[in-house]
Amino acid sequence: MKIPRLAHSCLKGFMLLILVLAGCSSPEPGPVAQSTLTGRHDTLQKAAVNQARSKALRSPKSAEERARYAYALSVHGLHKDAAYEFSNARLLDSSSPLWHYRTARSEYESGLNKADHVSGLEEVTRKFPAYLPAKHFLATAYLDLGQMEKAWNLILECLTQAPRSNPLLATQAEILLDSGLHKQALEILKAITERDTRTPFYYRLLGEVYLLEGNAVPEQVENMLVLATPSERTIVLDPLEQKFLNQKTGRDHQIRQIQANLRGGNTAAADKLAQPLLNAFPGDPGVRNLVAQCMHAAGRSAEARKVLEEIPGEFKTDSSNLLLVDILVQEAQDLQTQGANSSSQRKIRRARDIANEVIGNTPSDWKAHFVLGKCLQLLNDLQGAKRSLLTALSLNQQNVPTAFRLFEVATQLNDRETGKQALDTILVTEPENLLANIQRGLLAVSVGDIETAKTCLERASKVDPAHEGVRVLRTRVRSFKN
Amino acid sequence: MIRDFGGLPPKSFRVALLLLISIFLIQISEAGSQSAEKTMDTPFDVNELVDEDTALPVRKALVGCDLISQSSRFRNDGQMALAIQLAAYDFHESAVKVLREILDRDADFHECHYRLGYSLELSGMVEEALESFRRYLELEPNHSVTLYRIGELLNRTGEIEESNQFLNRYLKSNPNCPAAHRRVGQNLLALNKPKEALPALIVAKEQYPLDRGTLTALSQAQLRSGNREEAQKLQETLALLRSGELTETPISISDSLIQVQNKLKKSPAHCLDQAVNLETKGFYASANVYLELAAQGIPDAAAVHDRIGRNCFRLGQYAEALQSYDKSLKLEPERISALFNRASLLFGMGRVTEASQDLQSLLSVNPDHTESQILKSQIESFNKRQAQKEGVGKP
Repeated sequence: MKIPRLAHSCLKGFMLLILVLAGCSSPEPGPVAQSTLTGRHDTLQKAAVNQARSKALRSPKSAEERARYAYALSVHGLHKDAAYEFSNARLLDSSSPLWHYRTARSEYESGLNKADHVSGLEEVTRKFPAYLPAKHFLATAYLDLGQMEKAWNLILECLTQAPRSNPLLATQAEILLDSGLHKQALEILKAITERDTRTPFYYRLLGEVYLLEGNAVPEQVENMLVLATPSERTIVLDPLEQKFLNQKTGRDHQIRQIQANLRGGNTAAADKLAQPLLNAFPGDPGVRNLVAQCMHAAGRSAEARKVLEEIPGEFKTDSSNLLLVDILVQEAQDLQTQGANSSSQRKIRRARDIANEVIGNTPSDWKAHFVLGKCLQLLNDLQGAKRSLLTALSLNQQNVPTAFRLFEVATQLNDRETGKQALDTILVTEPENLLANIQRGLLAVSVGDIETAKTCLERASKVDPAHEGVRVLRTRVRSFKN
Repeated sequence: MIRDFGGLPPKSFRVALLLLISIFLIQISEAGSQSAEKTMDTPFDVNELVDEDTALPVRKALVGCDLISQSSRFRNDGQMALAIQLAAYDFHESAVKVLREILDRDADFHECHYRLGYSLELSGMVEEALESFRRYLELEPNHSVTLYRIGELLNRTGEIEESNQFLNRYLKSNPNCPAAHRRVGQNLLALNKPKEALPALIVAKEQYPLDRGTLTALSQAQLRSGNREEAQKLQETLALLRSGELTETPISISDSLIQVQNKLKKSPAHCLDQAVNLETKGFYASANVYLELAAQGIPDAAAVHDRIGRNCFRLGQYAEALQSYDKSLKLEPERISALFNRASLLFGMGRVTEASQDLQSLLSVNPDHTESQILKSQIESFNKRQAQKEGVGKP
């Protein structure tokens, strides 16, 4: 039976009137949760959680603030509390699928028996059938529980919505990998890592395929896995989520951020993150070592030395000792430039002794031989420096700074053969290295090897044709021909 | 001639009894072969092989592979991977079913014939296995290991001379294979040619001096060739092997096709073995990939989480190390190594009080744990020095 439009409108109006008269309002959220932080949570994590809680306490009826607090809890593993806070956000803003999804997800993550909590996620996907983050997470939950059929069908369904989504493709690869279909998983993972070189999780999966297949160089696989672990599975993100997720912190998290910045050559960013880390963990030898490394890289060697020297003797490691040697060498060089030779020599002798001590502990550590070589060079023991640098280079043939240092020492010794060897080593690793090509070219001209000189000139010209060294080399090659 | 049958029943009764027994035995053997055929004829169902008790990674692998191989995109590769995995977990009859399904669609799928031969062989179906290997050899005449496999099977069917023909062909391309030399020697012994058997068996023994099969055959060959002293020496070694004073190193054959099975194996025991190998080489992140698979398979194994933690520690991943030690100790609160590892880690992070607590728990369980005593004294001297330092700073 059809209700006439007017009657329908009247009915709606009447119902609204009843609601207003009854004093009905939107549902009240629960009080802001106390966080159940444990002894395993560190200072930084506690601070992040407490900060988010304060904001939630100030605005308990703001879905966003309640959710921010929920995320702060969730990223630090407090899933039960997070579920409660997400449910409050959901209550305050029931139209957003995100809060529904995160409530169900946190309930699932907090459950000891995860299989019991899948139904919540399933309900969300039924309610919001086009909402990818929830569907993707549910597919991964199915996979973890061994429900392969559901996982596979759901991921295929997700992929019809977003066929080029890396997180979805990674889950497809994960299912294939878990199913023993390595070749198929590899194809997907290669494509993903070509598009996204920054997400560790994709490399974790790629490393696993290479490891299980056993046909890649084991050292390279290990290296890939070291850089990729620990890594978390990537789930399709709701556009709103990114701003909440950056609340993740903690000792190891910050250390990884700093290390990534150092690896990427972004010393300023690393240095900026280092000081708060040191403030939070002043007694942590690992933190002190890393912070000193950042300070040294940022040119604050005196502060770095102080940070290192305050590490109690029990916690001093070869790595912190080597860093100290490097700092002392730097300071000695600075002093030498300033003409303070005796102070410089004192420092460098101390550095040499520490380096020798480290070599006694770990004779195969190339870094130790490298810094010892630097010390001996400054002490004018050029033959000793050459020996140390040759050892360092034999232990790590791809280290360009070692090879350059060896070239420098060889030049001081007028030892062309060693100089040539050092430059050739660099050119194997970096065939386009401008300085190595110029120096190798000049060396070649000096011994009448015009072919090598021309090759080097060609390579160097490609990199920087206007470079002063290139110009000199070009002139030498031309004059040799004439 | 007096024939005394004592208390035996009359002859007619005995004949009838023998007849009955024969009929019974024939029926049993028919029923047996029917059931074997029936097993081979029923369609493959992965759910008959796995249940809740199957290790999760194994269950995921078999169920997932079966499922995905049903889609046309992954059909042949998927089914082949499934068959390989089934063989890896010794489900050879199921592997045979899957391989036959592939061959029904594509009879020229070369590798399939080889794998079918292998699984048939391990299902005890020697004739059929021979047939499959022969077919594979037609398709891949250069795959020498097939010659070996055929030679082995011919030995089992009693076709000894033909067996040696295949094995000798195999040895032309693999002159040092100890398994083939051993079998050739054993065959020659069976053909009553002990002197001719000697060189082959000696080659096998040179490479595998503690392989029981080789030693037994060689001892017989020596004895039957009149070399009593040599035979005696070999018998002595065999006695030591039997008593366990020597450990046997059995001959293994390198077969690249069958080794693929290992790549797909995810049973906890296999994963733990792989992890040990990687750990000894210093590949801790790689070892942890296998340990995590093992942990999925046996989630309650405190030792696995302890090992994951130790590897994380070696990699400098302290938070993860701590998490793994926590897991291990939750499962086994008095686990000495996990308590010690956690104490060392916490001390290294400057969390001295927590380290002391772990050491206290450990020493209450095992007061003689030397490494813990050393760590304890280190902590005590550290605390003393810190107290002195603080004392110096005070007015």
